[in-house]
Amino acid sequence: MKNKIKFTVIFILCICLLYGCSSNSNIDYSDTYVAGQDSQENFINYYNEYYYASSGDNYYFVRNGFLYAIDKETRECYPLCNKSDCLHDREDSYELRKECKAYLNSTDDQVVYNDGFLYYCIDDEEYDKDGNHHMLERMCRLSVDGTKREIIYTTEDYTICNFRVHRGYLYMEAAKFAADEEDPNGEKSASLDKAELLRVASDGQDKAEVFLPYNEYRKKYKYFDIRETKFYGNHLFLRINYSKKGKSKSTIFNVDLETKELKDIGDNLPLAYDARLTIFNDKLVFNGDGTKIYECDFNGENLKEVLDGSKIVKEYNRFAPYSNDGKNLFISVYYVNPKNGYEFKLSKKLISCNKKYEYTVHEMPIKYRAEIGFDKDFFIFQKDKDEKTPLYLINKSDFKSKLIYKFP
Amino acid sequence: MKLVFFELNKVLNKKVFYIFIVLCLLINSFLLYSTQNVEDNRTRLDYSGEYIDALNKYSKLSFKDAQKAIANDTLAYSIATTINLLPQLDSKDEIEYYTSELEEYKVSNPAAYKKALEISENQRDDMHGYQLVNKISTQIDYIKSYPEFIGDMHSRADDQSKLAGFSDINSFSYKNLYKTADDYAHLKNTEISLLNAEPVTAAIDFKVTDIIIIAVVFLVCIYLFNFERDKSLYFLVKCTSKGRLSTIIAKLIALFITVLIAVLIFDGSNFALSSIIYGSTDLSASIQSIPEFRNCAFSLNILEFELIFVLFKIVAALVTASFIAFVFIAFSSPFLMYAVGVGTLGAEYMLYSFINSGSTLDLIKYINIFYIFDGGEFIGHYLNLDLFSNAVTANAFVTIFFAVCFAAFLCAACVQFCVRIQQKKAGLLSKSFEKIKTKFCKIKGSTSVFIGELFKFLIQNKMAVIFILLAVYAVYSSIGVVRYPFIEPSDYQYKVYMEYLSGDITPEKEKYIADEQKYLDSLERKIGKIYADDSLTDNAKQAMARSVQNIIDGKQDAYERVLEEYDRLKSLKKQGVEARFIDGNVYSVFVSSDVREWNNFITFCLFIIIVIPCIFTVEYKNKMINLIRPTKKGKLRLFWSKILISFIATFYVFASVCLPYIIRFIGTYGTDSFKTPLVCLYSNLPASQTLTVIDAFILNQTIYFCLALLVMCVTIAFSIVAKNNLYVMIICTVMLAAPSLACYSVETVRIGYLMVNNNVSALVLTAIISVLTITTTLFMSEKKFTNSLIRRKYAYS
Repeated sequence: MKNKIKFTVIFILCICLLYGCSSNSNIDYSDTYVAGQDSQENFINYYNEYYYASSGDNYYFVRNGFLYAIDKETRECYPLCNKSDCLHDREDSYELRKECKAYLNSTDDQVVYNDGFLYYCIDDEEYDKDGNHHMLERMCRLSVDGTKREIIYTTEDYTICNFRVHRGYLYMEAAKFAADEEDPNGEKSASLDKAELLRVASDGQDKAEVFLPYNEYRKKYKYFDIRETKFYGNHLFLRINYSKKGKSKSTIFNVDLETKELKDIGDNLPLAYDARLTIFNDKLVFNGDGTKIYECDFNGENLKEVLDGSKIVKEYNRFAPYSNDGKNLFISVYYVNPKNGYEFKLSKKLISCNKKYEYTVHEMPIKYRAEIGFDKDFFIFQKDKDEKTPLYLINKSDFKSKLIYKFP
Repeated sequence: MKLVFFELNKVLNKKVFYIFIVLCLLINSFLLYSTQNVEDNRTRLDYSGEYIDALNKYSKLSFKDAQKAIANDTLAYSIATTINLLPQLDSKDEIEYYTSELEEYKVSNPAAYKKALEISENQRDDMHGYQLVNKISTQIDYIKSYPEFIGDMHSRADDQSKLAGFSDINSFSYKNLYKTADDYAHLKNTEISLLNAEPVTAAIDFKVTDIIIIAVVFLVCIYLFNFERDKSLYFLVKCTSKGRLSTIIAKLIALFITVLIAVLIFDGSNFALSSIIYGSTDLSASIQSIPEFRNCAFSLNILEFELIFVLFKIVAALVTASFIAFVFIAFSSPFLMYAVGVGTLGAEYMLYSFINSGSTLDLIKYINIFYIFDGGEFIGHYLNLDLFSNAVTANAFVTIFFAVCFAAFLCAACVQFCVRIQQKKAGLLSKSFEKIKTKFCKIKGSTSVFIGELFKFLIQNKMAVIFILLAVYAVYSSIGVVRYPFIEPSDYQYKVYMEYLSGDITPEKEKYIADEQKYLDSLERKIGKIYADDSLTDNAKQAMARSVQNIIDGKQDAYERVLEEYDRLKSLKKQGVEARFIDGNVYSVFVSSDVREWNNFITFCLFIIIVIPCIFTVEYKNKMINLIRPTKKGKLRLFWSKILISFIATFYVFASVCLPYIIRFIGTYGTDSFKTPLVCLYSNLPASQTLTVIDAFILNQTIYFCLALLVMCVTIAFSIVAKNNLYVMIICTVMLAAPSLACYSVETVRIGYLMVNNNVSALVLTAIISVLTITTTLFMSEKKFTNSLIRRKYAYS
């Protein structure tokens, strides 16, 4: 009897100890970028769905459902499959493609890296006990050696548009199928794009919560459209476009990740419409109307003009600070038709600045418009992913490109 | 040796055993044929001879010539398709286009064109040749690609190992890459032939045979281990001159011999039948000639592969037999034997089937007896397991693992047999149950036959426990809601529309539909106005237009669906139907759901098989049969009392399984749409069909209840013949499980499907067959139960 009680107590203590341990116990909560645990989108451009993730050793990206890795040292690119009796993306048979370790069958080409795992989203379906068919979206994660997969979150009520992993949480921008909710026109909308920002523990141990109810902001900010989502330190920065009295405007929200307090800091900032934003040297850097680039603190104060692009490259009128590598800021250069605001003329120019904003103008091997992934050593470029054009690596030291993969 | 012979005789002198084997052989063959005779495979089956002739024709050519010939024939079929299409075209432009295309072919490839004319004449209706030629063309492409696949193995390993994470020589990935390449190296010069693959793949991919073999194992274990315990003959059996060990070894050898013969018979019949269906194949060709086995790393021809396939089936069956034998010796309660044996194998099956490869649990998936049973995967697909970062060949490791398990189970069985008394002991809850029984459930004095049988069933056979558990399950399942099936994004808006429109078509609802059309049209105009508004910036225009377009996109599909339904309902109304709106997503599943119907069917049948046998078999076991049958009012009354109890039990089980769904459904959606005619829900039904939704549901459940009664009557018949509870449970489980597993993915084998496709003849036939079988089995059971004398020889059979 005594032994039974002893063992029961020890068992309960063990359970309590295990329960006490959480995946968030090793998080560094400094108010700056901490590699490995923080979301990377500030450094890797996600605009126009060119998603790349970076671990210490590899870049990762997804094309046509297959996960690829680019080794940073050898600059070789291959599907992330550890079977040599597999033809990976060159398999003809769907059954054999499914067996490839690199085949994610993801809903789109998004992949993010965090703390040894790659996160991606898949469509799935299931039948419940009543025989009803349900289409589901699942957030999954895969170990970086491509061997272990697990499901983190499943939903039927949302479509996951974008996702990030930051400091132990998976954040998901979700479109909600909430039929009959009102949109800013006063119209009853069947579905709401980017209705909510959901959050769940990155190991899937907790239930998901609505972190930010985006749809609530549509009441004040008409035609609210989130253009950029950047996590940095203990902040979430949202660059949004909206309409006011028939005119399109942009602003920046600063959300405190701990208190969920949201501040509109863009009111007094000379933000260009659809400006580009990056966080460099613990400052917000963005382009204003015209050719100027500014920086300010996270609360929108201490605004300072840091560059005027027109004095550097004269023939172009848009200078977009789209990303940085922690040491250098990258500014893409292009021309926008001022009459309509959406006709572009691309260039091969790239301006890089150090923390003192001492700049250098580089000539890229290709024309581009900020749709380029990066790292401290390389840029990654694919001209048109839908046409399966080849993938290039552009070395930052000499700006020479190397073809690294041809898609089948 | 003599002991082995005597033990073997205990099995082989049972007529029922042979009947069971023959019956299972027939079921197995029927199911194998049925699974091949599906829509997608019809051409291959119907034109099997033509396919083999074509294969032979191309096989005789050199590889290059065969490639040219197939390309030419494929072109000929493509041209023939165009020729057949021309008469059906209406558009002048299309006719001109295709005619000029044909003229070009006539000039550029006259041989193919000439052949196309012949094909067009001969195969105007189905162009089956095109499918066959395409199939052969795919095979030829595979043959061409195979040498490169093998030759580039090492270079693929070199390439993949350049990635960080794969380059660490101590990692599983690195080892896996190079071990795989090395293990395939000997296949470099393997010759691949063009051959008829289906006779091999059809037999190898057919999994139902494994269930039957496991059932044979159970059956033989009942004969060898259970019968003597039930007849309290173990004391006698264990007192052999050479000791208990020789007895148990003899029993185990007899078990293994029987299982081995069963595997050879069943798997041999599969190969024979698939050869009959698809024709023969070249057994001397390498196994890699079959595309499905491209990843087989063994240098085997097809005959050798089939022999090894059967060998591993035997291995799996022997391991299973050793485990079941151990369970039968370790447990004395039939219920526990069934629960542990079937439960463990069931759990293994679920783990193997539902764990995805690459998940964190994939070791449990592959270190699994069903992985060995799945010979096509086990030998036909190369795999390494990650064991402490070492790449270990899966089939070698799993074979060794289960060889150790086999030895362990054998030793454990021998020890248990020698040491244990093998007398049936009181179960865990027996004492508590006895106390409750004595206090609350006593029959004082005399009672009616029915009450007496009821008492025996519920209290003495402890079926009250199962019924209470079923009641708890039913109550628990009745709580909650029926989830709405959202499949398309437009389903959300469709649900909103239907929440308003469901029910009778009223002028208000018609106005609502018209207003919604006007609303959507106004949104389109709104987009136009937005773009025409010069006071807005271009970006503002885009944002506003996109917002409006989102609304249109979200509602348009759903509205079009509603409109289509409305038009159909109007036309039905003109034909005199009481047309009403009804939510198609919800009620189509309510009336017919292949998943729910299959799950419910399997569940209530399994419960019936567990619950019913003890009604008739208990008295045979405890030798009270001759005592209970001479009742005051005769054997017939006793028989019908037992049947009535069986009926009540079946009804209770059926209601517990099926009722919770309707309760939850009514709680979620109400009953307003129940009286909607079925034709409003299914456009393929004729307007003359007068069934309503609830009629269809009740009819569906009635037919399933008839099937439940059929299972009940067949179980009763087996009980009276076999006179052994566990025996009946095992036989009935396999006769239920084997066809059910084969039908799982065949949606046409569902009452609901037949109903919504207006297949009245199939429904009537099902009902008639059920009723006839029920009547016949009841009649025969009654004759057997009431007329036969239970002779003394039963005690020693």
